[in-house]
Amino acid sequence: MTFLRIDHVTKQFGSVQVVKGVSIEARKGEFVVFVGPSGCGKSTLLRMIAGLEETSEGSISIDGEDLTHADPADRHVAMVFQSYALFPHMSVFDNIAFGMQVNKVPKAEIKARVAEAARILQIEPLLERKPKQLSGGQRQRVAIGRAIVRKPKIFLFDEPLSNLDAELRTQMRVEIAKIHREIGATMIYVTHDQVEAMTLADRIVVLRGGLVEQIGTPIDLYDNPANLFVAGFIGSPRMTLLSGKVESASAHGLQVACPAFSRPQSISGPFARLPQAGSQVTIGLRPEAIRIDAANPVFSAKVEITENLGGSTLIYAVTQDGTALIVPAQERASVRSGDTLPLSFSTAPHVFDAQGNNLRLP
Amino acid sequence: MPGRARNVSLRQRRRKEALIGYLFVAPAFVGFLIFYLLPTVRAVGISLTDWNLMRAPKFVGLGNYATLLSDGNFWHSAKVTLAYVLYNIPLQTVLGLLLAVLSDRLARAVWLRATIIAPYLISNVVAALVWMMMLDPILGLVNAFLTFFGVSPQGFLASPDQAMVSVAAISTWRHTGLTALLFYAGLQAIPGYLYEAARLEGAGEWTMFRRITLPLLRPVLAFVVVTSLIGSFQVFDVVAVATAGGPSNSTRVILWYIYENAFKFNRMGYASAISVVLFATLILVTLLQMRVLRADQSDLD
Repeated sequence: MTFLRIDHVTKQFGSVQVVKGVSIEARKGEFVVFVGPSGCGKSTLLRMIAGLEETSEGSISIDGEDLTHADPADRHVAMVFQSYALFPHMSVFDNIAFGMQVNKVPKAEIKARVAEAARILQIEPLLERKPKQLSGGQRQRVAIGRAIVRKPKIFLFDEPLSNLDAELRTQMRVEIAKIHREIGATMIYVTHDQVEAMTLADRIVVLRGGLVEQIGTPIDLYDNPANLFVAGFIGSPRMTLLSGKVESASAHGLQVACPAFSRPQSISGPFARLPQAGSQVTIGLRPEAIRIDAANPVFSAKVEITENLGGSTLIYAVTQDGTALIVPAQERASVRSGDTLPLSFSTAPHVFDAQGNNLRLP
Repeated sequence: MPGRARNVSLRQRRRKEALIGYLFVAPAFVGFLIFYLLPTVRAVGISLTDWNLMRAPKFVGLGNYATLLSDGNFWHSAKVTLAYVLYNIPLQTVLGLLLAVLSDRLARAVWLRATIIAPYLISNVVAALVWMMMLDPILGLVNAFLTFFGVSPQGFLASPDQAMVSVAAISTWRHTGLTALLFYAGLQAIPGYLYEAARLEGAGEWTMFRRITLPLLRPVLAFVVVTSLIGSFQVFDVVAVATAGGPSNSTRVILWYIYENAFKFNRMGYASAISVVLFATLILVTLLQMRVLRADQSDLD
């Protein structure tokens, strides 16, 4: 059942349209991540759900109630800001209790609910401190605590981890996933970091230029990106993209020639539609689809640098036509800079047409 | 011993750094010394003498201070000044805060702030002259206005009961804009997301003002109250132009009384003694306020 329904919403700032007609639905308890490059409208969309930005057109409803133009206070949503937005002159306790104090919740209940939130977030010893006396991670917990105690219908997170260092970010990511499991609330999370999106989301909404590019589960987006943008944005290391030309197309598959390839390759379907012979296409290879293959090489690449991660090695290389690619090698590869790697691809690669749409059927 | 050598060079570097620091402060300090500190010390010296500018000053010890304690005119002027401060400061601060918050939340237009600050750009003397004409009991615009609405004409600056209130009103009119502008600047330092967070928590405008704006504005509030309080205790030019201490001494504020003693009665020693007492009182009041308002600490990062 749909809990949050965003229906054809747009947002106009003066003459600039930032959100250009977006429709998204989320189920109760679902963790939905909005991801996209900066300026894609993801934060604006989140603020529209919160009521901090007016919705120009379209409608937003939560739990069956149309809240498109409702006051933020009447929406029963809580938001965790990128800057934490803690009240600097109040103790941690007062910060968490603020909403309940404003809404005249009885003192005993405030105390109990703050204690409960503090327990979940393990910030019990910090309740008397001021935000200034806390580390970044602790401030983040307090901000989440302030959201939890209100028992909101929806949690909104606006890039909550971007002010933390890498290690803490990973740790807090796990914490947020745990909190989601523990309280089972509907969460909408905005990030530009596709790793956060992949690891946290039940479903990911990829946005670009105020439009939805694709909505799907992380695996869905990884395996079946709708277009070149999603393919390039989701997945780390990135998908390798090789430009080529269709030599022939039939029900059995395509025959594609790439400047990088030593000879034209046949790529099997099924395809949503067949490209015309002679048209430009882009071949997309996930890193794990590329393998070092001395026996039957399809293309080769010159090694630029290798990154030894201990358990595995990342090989940064450049193909003959100048495309940079990354090959993960499980074993401790004994390649050096300047070596030429013989490569082939294992699974059927993605094929994108000249407009960037993925031709492969999921 | 390399450790010791390093210590020495570190100490030398510190000393050099301190010297450069003093050099930077020097120009301002020289001005302060010549125009503030020396005259103050000199005033304290003169206050211990009997001096009418004609003859050489005669040392009288604390005699002037003893006279002051039993001088009814001095205590009257202190009372009148305090009344002026009490009319002036609360009204000016509250009005300034109101204007600042309203222009911050409703209209951030530059012309609006320019209008608000405009009275401050007029000199006190000009403001006093303009208001003297407007408040004239017979020919004044204000009484014409009041009569139009059926209110009987008032004496204003000519009435012993209303003169001090009228002077305070002129000062409030002139200074509220500056107070508002200072508060407005203080408000810009409070990040907008705090208000967004509060709104999501269900806080209304009044709650946000009371629980966010006011506490975070505290250092600015302290600055504004301290400076305007000191300024109010030293009110002089509006009084000098508009009432000259009258009618019947109802606006004889401390500075006017000092001026009379010094330049009308040629009692330099006595005038200096009153100045020193005012100076000491203001320092005490300022220290107290700074302590109460924790002016040196901001909650903002």
